[in-house]
Amino acid sequence: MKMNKKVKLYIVLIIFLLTFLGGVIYNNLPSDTNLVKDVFIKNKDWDSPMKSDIPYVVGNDIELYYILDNPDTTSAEISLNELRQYIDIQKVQIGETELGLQDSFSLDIDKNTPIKITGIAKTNNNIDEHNFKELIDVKFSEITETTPVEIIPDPIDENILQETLTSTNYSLNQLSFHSNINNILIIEGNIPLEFDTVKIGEILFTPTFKDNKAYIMIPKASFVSGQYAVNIYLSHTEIIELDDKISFQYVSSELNIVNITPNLVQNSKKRDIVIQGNGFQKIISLQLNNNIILKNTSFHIINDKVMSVTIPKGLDPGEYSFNIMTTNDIIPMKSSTFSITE
Amino acid sequence: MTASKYILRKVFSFCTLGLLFGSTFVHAEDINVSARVSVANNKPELVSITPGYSPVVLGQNSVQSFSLQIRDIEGDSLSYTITPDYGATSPISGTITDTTKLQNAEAFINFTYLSSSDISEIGASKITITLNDGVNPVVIKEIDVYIF
Repeated sequence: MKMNKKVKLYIVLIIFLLTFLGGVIYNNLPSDTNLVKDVFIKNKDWDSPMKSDIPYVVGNDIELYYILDNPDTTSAEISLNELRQYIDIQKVQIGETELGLQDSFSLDIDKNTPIKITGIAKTNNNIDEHNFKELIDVKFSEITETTPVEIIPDPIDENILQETLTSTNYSLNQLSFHSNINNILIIEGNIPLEFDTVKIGEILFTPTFKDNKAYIMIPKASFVSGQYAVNIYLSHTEIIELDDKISFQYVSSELNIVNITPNLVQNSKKRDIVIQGNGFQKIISLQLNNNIILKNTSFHIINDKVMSVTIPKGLDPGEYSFNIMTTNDIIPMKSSTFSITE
Repeated sequence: MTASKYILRKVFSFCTLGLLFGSTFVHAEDINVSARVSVANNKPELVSITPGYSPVVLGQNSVQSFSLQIRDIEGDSLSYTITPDYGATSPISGTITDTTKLQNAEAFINFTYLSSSDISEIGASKITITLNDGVNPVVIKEIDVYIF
């Protein structure tokens, strides 16, 4: 029997309504969302770093770190039953708080608090067989209702309000930076900080505020070598230029040295120094600028940005820098120096 | 006199002379030997970190303060560096010279970490701390952070 168009339309409308209602009902069901956003593993026996997939074998001492997705303080239920098939659990911690070893917990979890589970592996690692993210069940049963906190502003010092704000009301944590790394400029004030924008040179930045300090992330390579003015935008029309300028030092090489600590050593004994910078994984040999080649055992590349170097004893007092050999080049690092004294 | 007898007689003579010489000129004596043995220098220790849980979880472009409690039993002047994989710290290095505080574990390295706002840098990363007392090899400690 042919359906006329009206009937077809009614059927479509009914299906649409049912689907819509179903969605509304589903969204308003008591939530059983699993709150696990991410999980990382450390193999303690191997002193491994914390990564999302680390090999282990039966008997290894491992740590699991669960990152949760709870928006605020959440009343949660945690079940470890399934996880116990794979790990002999020794310790469970929420943040810094150690819990017992029961199979399930009901407790309040603050936002950004990880769950750490320590135990002995019962199986060899095979990510395909068991995804640790799914082996722990964290569900919130109800969101803790919080009474909106009334923010009472600090009493305003009328004397300060009546003064015009000037550069002297603000101070900077640091005046000299190396532009080959990310930097933090911290602005403090003797008044409540109320501004949204800071201009350094010609670049506008939006600060992050905490404890009446403004923190400004200056990404690396934002500025070449030079001095730059700092302007605080109290409003579109009210701008305060700080008396202090900040200076940046920058080198264009991808492999560079930003800092040497300590930068003054005595020549009476051998001494380790720590170098910070970029591109250290490419280093294959080091030489001091007086052409003394340092043995491979004299330097330790900790990661691409940090390395330690043992300075031999007995060197003549003076200022030294490094010449760095990579697979492609020999690069003199003349701008980054350290001093040797007697 | 046969050759063997001759040799034996000579050997006996030499031995006798040797005994006489030794007893006349060589005396057993006590010899005092002194040596200075250096006490092993202990490497600096990281006693505690605040916040004390790991990883430290925070959003992009967020501020987190860290405090590292340090001890050096000998009170050796200590230099340190702080290097994040991503984001930035203030300061990035420093020196602690207070001998008493170092010996009593009352020395602290306090720094501020500002997480990156670059979306490609979210997830797990670390902040590398080095402690250097100028005597022992550099002590390395990593703080795990998670940026969402």
